[in-house]
Amino acid sequence: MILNGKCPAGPLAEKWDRHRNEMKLVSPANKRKYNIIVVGTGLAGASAAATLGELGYNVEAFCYQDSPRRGHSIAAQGGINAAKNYPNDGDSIFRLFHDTIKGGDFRAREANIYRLAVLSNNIIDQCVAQGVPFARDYAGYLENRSFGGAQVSRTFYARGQTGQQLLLGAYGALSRQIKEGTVRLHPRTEMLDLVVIDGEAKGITVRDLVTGKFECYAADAVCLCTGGYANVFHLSTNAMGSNVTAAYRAYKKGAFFANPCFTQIHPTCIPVSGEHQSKLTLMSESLRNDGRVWAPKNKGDNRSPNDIPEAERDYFLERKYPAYGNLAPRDIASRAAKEICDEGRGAGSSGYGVYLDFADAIKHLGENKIRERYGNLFEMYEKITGENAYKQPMRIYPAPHYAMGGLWVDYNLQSNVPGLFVLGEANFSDHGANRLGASALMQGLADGYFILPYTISDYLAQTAFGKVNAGHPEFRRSMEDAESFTKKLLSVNGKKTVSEFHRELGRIMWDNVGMERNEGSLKKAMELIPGLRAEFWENVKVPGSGVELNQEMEKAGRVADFLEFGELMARDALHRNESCGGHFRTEYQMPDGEARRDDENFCHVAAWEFKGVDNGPELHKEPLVFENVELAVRNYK
Amino acid sequence: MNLTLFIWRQKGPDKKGRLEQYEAKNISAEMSFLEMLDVVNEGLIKKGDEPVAFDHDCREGICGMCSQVINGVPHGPQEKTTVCQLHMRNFKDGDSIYIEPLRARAFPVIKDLIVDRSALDRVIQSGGYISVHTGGIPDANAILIPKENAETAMDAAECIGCGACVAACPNGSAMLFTAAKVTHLAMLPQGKIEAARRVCVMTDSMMNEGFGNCSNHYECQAVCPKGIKVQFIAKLNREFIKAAIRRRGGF
Amino acid sequence: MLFFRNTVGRKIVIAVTGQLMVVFVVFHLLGNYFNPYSINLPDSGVLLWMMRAVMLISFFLHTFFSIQGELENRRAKPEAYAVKKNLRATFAGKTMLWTGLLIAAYIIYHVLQVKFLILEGSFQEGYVVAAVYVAALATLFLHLYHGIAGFFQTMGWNSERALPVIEKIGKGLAVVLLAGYISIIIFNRI
Repeated sequence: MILNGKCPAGPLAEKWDRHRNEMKLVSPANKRKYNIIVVGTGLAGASAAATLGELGYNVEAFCYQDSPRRGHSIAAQGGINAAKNYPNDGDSIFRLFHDTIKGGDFRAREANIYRLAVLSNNIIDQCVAQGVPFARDYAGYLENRSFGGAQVSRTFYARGQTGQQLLLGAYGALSRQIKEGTVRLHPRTEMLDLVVIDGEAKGITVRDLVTGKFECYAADAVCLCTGGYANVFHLSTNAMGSNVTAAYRAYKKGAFFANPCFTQIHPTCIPVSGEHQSKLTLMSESLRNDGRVWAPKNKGDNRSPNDIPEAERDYFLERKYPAYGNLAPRDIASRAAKEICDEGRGAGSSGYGVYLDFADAIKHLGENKIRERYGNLFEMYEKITGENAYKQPMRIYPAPHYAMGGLWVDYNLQSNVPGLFVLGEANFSDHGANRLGASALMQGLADGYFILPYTISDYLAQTAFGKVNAGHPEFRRSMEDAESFTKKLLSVNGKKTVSEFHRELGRIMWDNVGMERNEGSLKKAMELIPGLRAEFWENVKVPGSGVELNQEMEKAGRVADFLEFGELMARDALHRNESCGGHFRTEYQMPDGEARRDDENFCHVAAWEFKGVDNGPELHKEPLVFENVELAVRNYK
Repeated sequence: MNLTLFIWRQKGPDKKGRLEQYEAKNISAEMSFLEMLDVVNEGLIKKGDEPVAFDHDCREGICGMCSQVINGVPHGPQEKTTVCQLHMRNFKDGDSIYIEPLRARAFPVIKDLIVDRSALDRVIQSGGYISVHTGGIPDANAILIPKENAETAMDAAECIGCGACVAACPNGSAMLFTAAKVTHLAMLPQGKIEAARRVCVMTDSMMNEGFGNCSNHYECQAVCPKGIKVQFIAKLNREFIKAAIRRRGGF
Repeated sequence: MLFFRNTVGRKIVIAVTGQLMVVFVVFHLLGNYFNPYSINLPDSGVLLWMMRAVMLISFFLHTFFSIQGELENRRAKPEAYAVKKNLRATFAGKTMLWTGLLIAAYIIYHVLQVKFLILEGSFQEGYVVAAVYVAALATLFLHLYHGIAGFFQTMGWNSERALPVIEKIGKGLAVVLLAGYISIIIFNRI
């Protein structure tokens, strides 16, 4: 099937305005008769739930955490982009649009990104009005910084906690609506199934994580704002609870999953220290502005880095990419580091790491200058590793960070299942094959504050309210399925823990579907994953019962989904016979190691339709048409 | 290293709990405290016992989910550090470690080390925001904010809502939490408009949720993983006096 | 009445009434030093009665809201930790209720003894009474050690730079008062 993204007609700059004028509205008196479910309370979910509540809809909001303030958006450090052009350095909506689409290696929709660039300005206004304490200059105006290689300063920030402050802003707006009674909050509640009736999304089945009780909620529309799936790699910069379950179960109910192979690997994370490692911590990429990346020239050189003489060090980024040196783009720097470690030249006891050395910078700038610039990062590094990075080089290693792929949605953020809307990282829409820094926060908030509230009314206005209630047989069936799934998990009673399976899956994914893939590795992953999945269902051990708070069971359900989803990722990566953005197939590279795109055959969104766990999914394509930008080759030489 | 752990185990909200002893063997100094607990839990699961339930999520010190009292101090011995960022090199071989849930009437235990902190959410819901709705906002630079005020607002806004201040307070008061939000918003021109009402409803809501009164012990600041200062409580008090004077019904 | 209803309001009432009594304690000390037997204090002056009324009201408000608050605080913390380490809270701060009650008892004893002459004895005469007075002063010292510095915080007169100074002033004043009163006892006993 050829999918249609339903982008409105007309000139790029007028599409959204024109579309807004054409969309249908729900009358104020009728709004409260519509029930809307919002799953997830990160930036996208909280902003959507709050705004829908303000408009007068009846909103049920769900999150698995104990409070809506804890969505993983809170961990975003860097900032949020907007085309305000406050610094007068030549930025514009078109430039932000162009940078974003180019950064995504031309694998996203023009119309979506243009809209995102337009709305970026409204987001900053909105957040300031909410009291987000963005950085200010001495005259009291908003401060900007440059980020992610952009040639203009367009990033707004609140120290190193921009995500936290934006989320708390949205959380405040949401709290206000909870107080008003327009939003009912269900914390510590996990969505386990999407209920589709007559082809439309009409509710969800959830499990109360405290009592273990299953419940069904009927609604006129369902919004998934459930984040990304980087935890399929086991170790990632995501929160421990971040999962693919809500999105994946929607996929199993007919929603298409788009571009799952597009994941972003971040080059500057603190390396793994041992088998016990539970997550990876990201450190701002800005460190590469002053640090020099190197590894020992000789294999198995386990001297302390300060004892390795200059002549025996390999400054591999400077050597390979003389023009960009240590500032080579994320994917290139990540791949180079992995190559070094695979050769056996990695730093530290685990061998998975390279050095990021500040000795030269300290020598010519002084320790104080470095402390001023990166003091908090050095502190965090010391807390975690116990090493003083002023005295010895840091060790860094790449880590999975962000999922560009997600559920397929059209221009209205509606999936192919009518009534199902997907926002934020959970959808695939705006970042193409690679996300630029400071864009994720922008997208989550644009979706929740400014896009969904309009587009959902267009859908609702064309559907009668209260069509179904939770007594519908489809809800009963969904609840029984969820219950029997839980029973099945508990009844295996094998020998291996859920974490052991997750770790094994992560290893398979990292080695074969990680930042470098090829036909061989992908086929291998597609063989290994079903094997591991079968073993899981024969040998997993989940203690306790289903009628109480049971964290192992929650984890087991999520890992069970990852064990299916990993295969889908590998399949998608295998189908895409090109390299682009975060998807690097070793067979498709330029002589200099750059990604080789194939615009003739792969300038499309790959959306997969579920056809059963053991049958392959069906591929649908949405062709990407570029009318306003020229498909250029990324070049960092 | 090998450690002896005394961990609070409690089956459910209405059940009686007690400290149980566990051995944590072959713990590496590189592990985080929660990774050490992961290892203990893996061992328990393999033995067929029930693992210890504890809250955690981001494991990078920002989500505020992790919440344990370690050897009598919320978030443990390292200053300005959440449990998830606390590493085992802060302990030594043979140590005994007591791990208890955050304790306060407003934080009923749900299971083991997990407590219900939704009371903090309700304090925010009572008025811990600026009542602005989405859209129709003037340009962001239409509101100018002196740099120092923005910095103070940010200092206060860094609160992660973990509840350590409540757990450490001899009175089980959430005054530091409340003061952080009151200060954050009162420092900004857009937040001043509702400041008088906010300080009254938030402190009332705090008491209605069963938290205690503040009596200047400053234990909260000492355990706050984000270094939120008691000066913000002074600021809250100032805001209250202003509100009481402005609202003539105050007396 | 916002000040009587709200937790911050009550805290301010406790702080202000407490400080009024501290002012009394200061003047009482000065009076003892320079005018030991209150010879010239008119017994029925309007000023004196006003002062007595303020003290009486302060005493009752201070005691009432402190006890009420303390009861709330106890309710807010029903279960104790098996292990609890205090990082900043002081013994003085945590025993405010008890030191307060002991001081109240002492004040009643002192007034009955000195003013109404119902109770016999004085610290000049017996070691036991002197010991009671010294104990009472130590208790008062503990109470003020926490109370005076806390007053500034409660009134909102506190900043990052001021806090250490305020704490020193508060504790210093408590020490001065203790030393002043004890010196009277010692002076009179020798």
